[in-house]
Amino acid sequence: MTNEKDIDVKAIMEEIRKRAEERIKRGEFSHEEIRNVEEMELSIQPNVEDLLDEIKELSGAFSEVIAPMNDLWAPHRPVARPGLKGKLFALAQKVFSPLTRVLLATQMEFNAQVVRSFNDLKVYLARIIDLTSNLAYRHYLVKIQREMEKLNETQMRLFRLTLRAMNQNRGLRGELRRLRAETPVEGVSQVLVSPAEPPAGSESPADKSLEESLYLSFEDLHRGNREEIKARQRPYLAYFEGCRNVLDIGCGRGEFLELLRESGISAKGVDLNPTMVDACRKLGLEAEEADAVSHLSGLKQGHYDGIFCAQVIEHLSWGQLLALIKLGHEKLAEGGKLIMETINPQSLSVFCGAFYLDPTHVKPVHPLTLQFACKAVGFASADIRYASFYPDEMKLAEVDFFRRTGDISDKLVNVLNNNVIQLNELLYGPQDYAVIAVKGEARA
Amino acid sequence: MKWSFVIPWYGTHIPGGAEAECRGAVTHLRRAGIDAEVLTTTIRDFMSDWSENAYEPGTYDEEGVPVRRFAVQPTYFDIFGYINDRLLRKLKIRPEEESYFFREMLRSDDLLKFIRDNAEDRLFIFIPYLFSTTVYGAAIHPERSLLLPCLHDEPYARLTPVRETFESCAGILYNVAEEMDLANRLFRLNGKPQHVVGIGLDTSLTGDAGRFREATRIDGPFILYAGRQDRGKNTPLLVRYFQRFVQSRESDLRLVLMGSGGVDIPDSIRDRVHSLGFVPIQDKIDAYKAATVFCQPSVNESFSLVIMEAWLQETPVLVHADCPVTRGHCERGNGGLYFANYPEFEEALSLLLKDGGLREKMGRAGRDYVLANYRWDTIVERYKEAARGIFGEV
Repeated sequence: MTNEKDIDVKAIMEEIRKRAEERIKRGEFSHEEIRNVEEMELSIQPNVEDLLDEIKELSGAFSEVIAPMNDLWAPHRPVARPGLKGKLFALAQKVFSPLTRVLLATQMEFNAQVVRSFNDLKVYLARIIDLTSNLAYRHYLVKIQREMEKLNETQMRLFRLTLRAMNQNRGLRGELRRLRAETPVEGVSQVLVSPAEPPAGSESPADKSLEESLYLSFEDLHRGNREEIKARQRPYLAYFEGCRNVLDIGCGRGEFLELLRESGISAKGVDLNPTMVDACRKLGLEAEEADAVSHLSGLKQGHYDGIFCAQVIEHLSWGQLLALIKLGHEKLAEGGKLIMETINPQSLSVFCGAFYLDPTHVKPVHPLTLQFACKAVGFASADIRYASFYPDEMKLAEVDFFRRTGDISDKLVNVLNNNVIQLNELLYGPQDYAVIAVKGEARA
Repeated sequence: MKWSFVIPWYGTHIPGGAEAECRGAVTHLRRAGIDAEVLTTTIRDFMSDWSENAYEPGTYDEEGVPVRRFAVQPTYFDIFGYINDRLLRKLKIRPEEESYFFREMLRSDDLLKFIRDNAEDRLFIFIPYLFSTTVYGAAIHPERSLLLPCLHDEPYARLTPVRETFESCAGILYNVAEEMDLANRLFRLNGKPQHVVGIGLDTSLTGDAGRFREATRIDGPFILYAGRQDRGKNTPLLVRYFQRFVQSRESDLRLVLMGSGGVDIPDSIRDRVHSLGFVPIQDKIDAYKAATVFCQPSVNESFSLVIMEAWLQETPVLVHADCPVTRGHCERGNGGLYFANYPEFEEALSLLLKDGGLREKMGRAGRDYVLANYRWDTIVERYKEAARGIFGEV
């Protein structure tokens, strides 16, 4: 490939590596120095933990060194020795001791000072270890703080993502529908619901409008599209046949108002969410931004001949619900109907999906409770009507009695199927129900 | 057969990278009589907003190259950004996030429709691997799609859609042998046609060392670096090594940096380091000629045009041993040395500085290597050979 046959880079590199290695071995570059050059620009943080261990080890060794010194530095005690030798030694000590004391006084003083100094050093060392431990502690604090900052940043990013997604209202709906098809539901709701609930009463108008437009998007995502909802609500139309003035509480995007209009029934909607009200008005439907209780309170008795209220009462407290039913009864004309549709808590599966999916749901209402409440405020009748049945293919399957294989007895099939039926009722009961309350003379 | 190069953005204003490679290939293939064109989006370039239609959609003639630009649609770029951030930090991402990554990166439905409806007698070459144009585009007619991936060993290369693109396309064209090795380590490519085609260079430019020294008043020996100056290119490492090198000896060695970006220069060597910023091409060529040694410290090069440019001016190079591509060039071309740590850098640089004869020989060997492998006529022949091998025609 090259004409310069006499160059062999691999061979030169081998030489270079060998020379570099030799120089490292000779100590011309310590590993630390090599690393220092690599990381020169970064601030090098020593590993405090290692440092601390090393100091502790040194301190142990130091104490060991001092120990015999302290032992040796015992004050002068005559050492008793047995026998004649001992007596002679004691005598010699008596004679010479004062002499040696005088002669060696300076040396002894020096020795004492050395031992004292070493003992002092031991104390200083212990103090240094203390301080270093604190440093280690601080080092971890800094580390933890950094981690916290990272977490915070991630949370902020999520939050910004939410805000931005909310602002891009138009493209969002289609996009969310697309996401719905591909994302597990809990992932999406995380993006949709702001991470922290602000304390009650602290909401700024901007928070409020964010929450409202957020709810619209949420409804788009989980409630189904307009046509689906209209199909679901169409069966209730029959109850309002012949009515002339119907109120839709929590009218949302006006699906039921539209159904009423299509049947020639004049109607009005109220909703707390101005975005929803706007959506209705754009379709030429009469709607007002108001809560049902204050709207109804201002009217004369018997004002409406029908009140419809779908998927609203699960958002109310028990007190609010009672007030609503009571007012509804007051403002309905004789023979007028109040229809309240809500999620059916008798179906366990709704608690895995529908009910807790909506963060603004307060409490499910049992059909018998609602029926009781209606009768208690004076409605003549209150019937329960179940809706939103699960399709069979979503339920547990029963064994086909006629197509079963030969090895299962009739009895076993019956037991099995009865169990499946019971489980299906418990798990996959109708997802919604409505109570239809009629004002008037109590039926016999 | 028509050859359509598909690239996320294109323009004569984009100086390097896959864009310049694409421009060079299309231009020279056309000169060799191939009906080559560019399919791209209306995005201006990598640095611009990827949902902004900076050009009118339509057909353009850019220095003789037909360029079809297709409109882009808005995406949820924040979602892309979030996933991209996780990828860059080497965090695990979920399978559905992998698909969001490509979906929300950039989107041109019209480009994909054009590919869908115009595959007859057409060969598509997708460049580079990590953009939605490639991942979605090559999935439409994989049997008529070649990849020119410019593959790096990085987290993006491990995304499932990327693997599927590599494994399903009709063939792959690489810049260097090391890139092919990497692809075969990462993906199951047994039996797939793969060719190292390389990148062509303009070999006609000649530098003038005297002109450079006169213009810059830089005397004496110097190490030259050319390219973006940032951490990703390992420029700070070169500055640190240079600092350490001149600290420990009597030396009049200097360091000259060319290109955009910038690194902090320590006070102690400020008078020896010259950062010239972005310079005109002829000045750059003059600098190559004047340099004692050219250094490319980056460990993440997929081809490294700059070392080829230095070699064309017969200047030996010094590269990082951890970059298989540049190291491979040095070993095959015998035009330069490499270092894995500071002591090796010091040894290699000292050797080159003191041995003028070796420098000359290495410089010439490097030039021979470039001329033998990376002239455009050689590259064009390799492209044609690859197409003939895969499609039986060009």
